[in-house]
Amino acid sequence: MRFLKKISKSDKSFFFMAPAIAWQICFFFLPLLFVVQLSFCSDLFQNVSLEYFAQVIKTSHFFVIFRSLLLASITASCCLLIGYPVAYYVALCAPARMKSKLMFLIVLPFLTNLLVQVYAWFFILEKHGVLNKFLNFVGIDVGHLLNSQFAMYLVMFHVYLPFIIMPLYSTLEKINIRLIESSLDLGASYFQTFCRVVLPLSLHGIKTGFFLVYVTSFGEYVIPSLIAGQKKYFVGTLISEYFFIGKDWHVGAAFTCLSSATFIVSILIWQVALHRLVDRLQRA
Amino acid sequence: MFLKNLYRLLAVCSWIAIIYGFLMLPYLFKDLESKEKSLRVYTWAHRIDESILRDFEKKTGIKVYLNYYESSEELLTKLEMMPTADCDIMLPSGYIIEPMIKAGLVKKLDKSRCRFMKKIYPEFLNMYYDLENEYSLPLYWDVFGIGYNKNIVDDSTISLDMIFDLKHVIGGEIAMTEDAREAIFLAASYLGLPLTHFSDDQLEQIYQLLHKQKSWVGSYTDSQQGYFLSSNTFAVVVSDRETICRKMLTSDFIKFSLLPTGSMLRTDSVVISAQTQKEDLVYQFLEFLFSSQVLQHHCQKYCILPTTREVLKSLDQKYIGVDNLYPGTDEFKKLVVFNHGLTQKEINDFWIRFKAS
Repeated sequence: MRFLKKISKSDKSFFFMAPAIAWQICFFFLPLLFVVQLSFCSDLFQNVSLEYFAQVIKTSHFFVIFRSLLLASITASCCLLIGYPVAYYVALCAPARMKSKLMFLIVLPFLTNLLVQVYAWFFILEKHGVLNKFLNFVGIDVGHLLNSQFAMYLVMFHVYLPFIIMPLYSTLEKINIRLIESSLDLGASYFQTFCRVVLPLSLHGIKTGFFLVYVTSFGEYVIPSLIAGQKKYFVGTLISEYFFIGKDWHVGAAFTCLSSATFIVSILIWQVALHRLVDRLQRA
Repeated sequence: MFLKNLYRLLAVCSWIAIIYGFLMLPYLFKDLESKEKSLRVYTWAHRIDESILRDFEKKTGIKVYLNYYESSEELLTKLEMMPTADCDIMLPSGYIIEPMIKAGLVKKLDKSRCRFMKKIYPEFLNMYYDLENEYSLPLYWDVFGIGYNKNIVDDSTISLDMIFDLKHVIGGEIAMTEDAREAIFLAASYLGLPLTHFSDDQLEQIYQLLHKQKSWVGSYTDSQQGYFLSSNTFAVVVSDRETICRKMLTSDFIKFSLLPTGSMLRTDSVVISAQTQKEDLVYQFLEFLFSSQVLQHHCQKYCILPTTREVLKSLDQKYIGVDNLYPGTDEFKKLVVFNHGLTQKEINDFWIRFKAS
């Protein structure tokens, strides 16, 4: 009893946080440790060598990583460019009674299964689909839309857009509207107010939303497979190939580590780039 | 400070223990389940109809649980990585049976309990992967060929040129198989290479051909060929017969043809898991699977081909999709059992290199 009395209130509350930590340990850190040891050791934590890395350090594998980085970068950038004005409008411009309705419309795709969303795009993009018919009607012949890079980016953008709008919305909504009004009253233009007041205050939301999309789209498996015609491997497909088809767990783990390391470096680069972009716009 | 850290460590460890306890729950139920009269079957989708299983369950009191896999390699990986996986019967493709036997994952058949064996065409028995059929019995078979839109493609022009030579590619794009073995088979046939063994140079030739072909392949797929034909996305698709045949039932402009140079034969065989203790139930289920009524039902529902004479002969032509495709006929003689001599690793490395580039 004395022991329990010595436990502070914060420690008692820690007990309720502990499941999340335990969950992370069981289902993230331990499997991660297992993957890392698989990439270095031929037996469980024994016979350490770089043999498996030597097998994946190939130009073709770097192409796969680069392809996935490009996919993630383009998807996240497009989502940010389109998602920001949408979040801005809903958070700061839309009438209060409309906000919840608009947010519901944005979240609506989450209520449907990803595969249903992807297959719905088939009927829009196929040769005699809605989009091609419209383009033909206005005299534009684009050939096959389905099974193309364009189709893949379009579907990625559609699926991931809500992921960026939601954190941006929650950040923008917290901005005190009086700060914007004060800036305008003091003679700043709308653009200056946006760059010097709104943008820095929403940087946290920008980063959260951007990386939420960036991280998830890097390992995307379903959309490139179904929409892009499986002509080329992405990181997700190659890892799955190594683990489930090739049964080459060591090489698969080495590739996972290599792609993850490259990916972490790319995150740091994007982090710096986003900060610099906001700084520049602030100074503009 | 020490006490605080100790408390926190204890808290996390106790939660880990709780999570572990939850993870162990299925094993408790497993003990209960093992007392139940049940069978676990690992199968491809579109092979066993769950509705017909209800009759079997009613009749015998044996509960059948179906587990699905997407590729034979996936099945092999699952079984090798999870040796305790509860499994009684499997329905893999023929070529994967050899590694399954080597890995000790399958049990020898008691042929005296397989009375239905005499109904099977001898053409499907004694394949290279199980020469004496000691471990496997073929249940279904199928062939790979070309599915096409007969309004656009003339029957007489069907050849490998229309998938490997851009001049002959109709519509500028095709859908190609996503299976490495089939792609290698087709490319080797086109190049006129022997199909039993490949040297490094020959494999490189195959790679170069497939690499060149990539520019006019719209999609690599194993499941969407029917959709691509019916939606007029492509006029020509490389596919197995059953996928196209199912689409032919609803779209009269779709047709399937074997390749004049030889089409690949595939069999789906029944094997018994090495760890099963329920042999009586297993043979009862096999008897059920091979019964004419059940085979007929499955073949009509999924357009798959049975290995038994009686059912294949009685099957309506619309479920076969190719004229005169019976063992012994000239059409059947065009079929090739592809025993390429490549290891699974060589095939995987080949395909990874091809798709990664």
